[in-house]
Amino acid sequence: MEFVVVSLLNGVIYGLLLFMVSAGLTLIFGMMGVLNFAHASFYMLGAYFGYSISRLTGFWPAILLAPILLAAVGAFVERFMLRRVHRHGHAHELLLTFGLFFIFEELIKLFYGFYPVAYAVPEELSFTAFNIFGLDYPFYRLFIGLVAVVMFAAIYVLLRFTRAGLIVRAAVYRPRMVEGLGHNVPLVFLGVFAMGAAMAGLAGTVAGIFYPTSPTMAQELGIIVFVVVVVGGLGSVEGALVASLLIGVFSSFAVGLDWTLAQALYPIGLQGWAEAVGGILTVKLATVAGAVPYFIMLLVLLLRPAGLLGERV
Amino acid sequence: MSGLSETEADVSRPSLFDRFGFATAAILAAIIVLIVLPLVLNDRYIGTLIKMLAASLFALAFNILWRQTKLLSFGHAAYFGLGMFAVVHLMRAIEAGSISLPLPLVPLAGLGAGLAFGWIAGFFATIRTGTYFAMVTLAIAELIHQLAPQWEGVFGGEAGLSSMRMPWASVTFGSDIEVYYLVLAWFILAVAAMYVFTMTPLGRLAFALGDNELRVRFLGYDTHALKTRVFAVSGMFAGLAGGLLALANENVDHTIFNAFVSGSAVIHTFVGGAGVFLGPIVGAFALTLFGFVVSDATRLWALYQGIIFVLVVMYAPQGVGGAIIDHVEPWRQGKLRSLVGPYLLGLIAALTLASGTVFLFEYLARLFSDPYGIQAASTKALPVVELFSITWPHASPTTWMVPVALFAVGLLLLRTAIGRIRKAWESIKTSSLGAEE
Repeated sequence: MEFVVVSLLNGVIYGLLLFMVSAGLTLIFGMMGVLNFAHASFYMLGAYFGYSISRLTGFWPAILLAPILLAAVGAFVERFMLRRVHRHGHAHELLLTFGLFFIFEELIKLFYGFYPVAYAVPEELSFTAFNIFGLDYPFYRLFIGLVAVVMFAAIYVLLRFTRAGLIVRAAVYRPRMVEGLGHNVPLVFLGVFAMGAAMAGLAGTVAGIFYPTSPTMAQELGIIVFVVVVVGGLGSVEGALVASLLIGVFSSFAVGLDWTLAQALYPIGLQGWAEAVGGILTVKLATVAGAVPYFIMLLVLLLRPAGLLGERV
Repeated sequence: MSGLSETEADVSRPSLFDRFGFATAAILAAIIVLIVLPLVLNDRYIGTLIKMLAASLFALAFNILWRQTKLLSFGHAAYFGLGMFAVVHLMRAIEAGSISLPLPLVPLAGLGAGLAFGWIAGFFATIRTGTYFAMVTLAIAELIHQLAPQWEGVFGGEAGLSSMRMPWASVTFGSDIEVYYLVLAWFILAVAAMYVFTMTPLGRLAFALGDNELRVRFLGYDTHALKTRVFAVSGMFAGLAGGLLALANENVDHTIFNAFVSGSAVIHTFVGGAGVFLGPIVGAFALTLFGFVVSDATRLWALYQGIIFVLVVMYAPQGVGGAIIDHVEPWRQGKLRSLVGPYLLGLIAALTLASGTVFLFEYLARLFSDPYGIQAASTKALPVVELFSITWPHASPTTWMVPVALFAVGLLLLRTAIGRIRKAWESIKTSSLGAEE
């Protein structure tokens, strides 16, 4: 029981964090057809900007300023880099973001070094939320989840109930048509790209405190965010939310489970045989937990490329 | 008048032999250089040469899929890595005496592993196209990357696997140079095979698939089966490339499945020129050499490589190879002379800007390094930075004037150079148009 509750709580919060990063990514893909390899870099930059700003001004201005800075970085990348290579096709756009991923990581190493920086929980948030099974549950974890929920509510309202949101949703669906109706679609692209970068930056600012802020954080999150976006359905924000929670909860449970493939064969009476064979059949789920999301991603890509909630392929 | 008719004959009939002769001469020269080079080089460089050859083959294998079929794979490390593991396993078996096989044939294990796994993975990956295809290849590679460290029997766990090259005939393969010539022989064979592949029916169909898959299907072909085969061929050569590297390194571990290894093939290919058959070799050689030389001098070499890659993607999407091809025709017509001046100016501008960039980043790297921080904290002041054996005081205006001046002059020169280069090209194009009329 203790394992279930704590894992569920941690999983949901990790999932919400994944959602903050993947929401922008999936919107950008739906709109521009570009899978942005540098998106996780925005998350990393958010953490480092948050760290530096919070050392100067304290945590609260940092949580506001870091995403704004990231929006500027995102806008620059879209306006002066992506838009330039757009005419060479999607492959070149993909390659550009791929190169930017390297540059951002190296720049961070240049300024902050190779090791994690001491980005600490602000004092006013550093207390125990509640006591569960004799375990003090830190409030800051809940805070990460809270920020994500507020962010989801904000973009949901923005996309569903405002005129700008209507244009964005239409531009995701049929960019040429929206352009034909006289809207400035490049400007919409710029706005969405900047917004997506800001959201990833916000995620980094908040989560960098909990998960160490280090130059490898973009790599660590980068591919798992792709998994979320694919499983949820490329272009679908709601899908990204569902997939984030699924993957978050799964990852959190899997590290504590020692199920094996051999045990799964018990109902058909092959457990003994499988255990004798050994190898991959007796590997514990906990040890291969890292591989399972990619397996799910592969299955989704092959069986239902539109993802859980996506509409188009 | 006679001069005009001469150029006319030259332009209207660029004889096949002429063109072919140029390419053959260049390739023969390159092969001779590759044969002679290790004789004059230090042993340290021979290892790098082997890495270059393996990286070139790897990039070429990746580019079979991209140049011909327009499928962008982000997971070729899987086939490269499996090729490495297959070769190390075979070498261990030979070492233990359970199999006997001449060492020069050992890379065939990598080839076989790449082919077999490429066939399976290709069957699934080519169900999808475009971004979805890239995602499938990424997922397959990442799956192996995650599973490999857990599966100790096959991948040797965290420590990886190692083995020894066994002597064959009278050759011990104990020295680097012997291994180099073996790798070079395989390299030449494989590049030739890949070139021949582009002319086989499957190779031609692969181009057609890249141009318009629907039409190929209308012609009655099973396009999925075709793409699976092309993918398998690409995986096969990637496996061979890995096998050659494993033969030289004598060890391998699971980190070879890292997404960055897949990325290196992509970067090499596009910097070298994805649209040209030999382009990936140019990219792989240039960037491996760059990494080798520059990583000795500065720890920022990966940053510089990233900047070079982004600049190529933005401003020279055809890569180095594409740029060379653009100059072949004017060169044959003897029209490149007008470009020499503008290009020299452009080179000076680029070097000026590059030195400004390097100065800036190296300076910042010193300023933000840990030893500097400790020194500053202990002396409670900002110590001077030493760079290029000169000390640069922070407050001094000269310190900041250097990069600013380099950037300003560089940008100014670049603007002039771009204008002149454009003008020279325009006159080349109009003059060849006139000749055609």
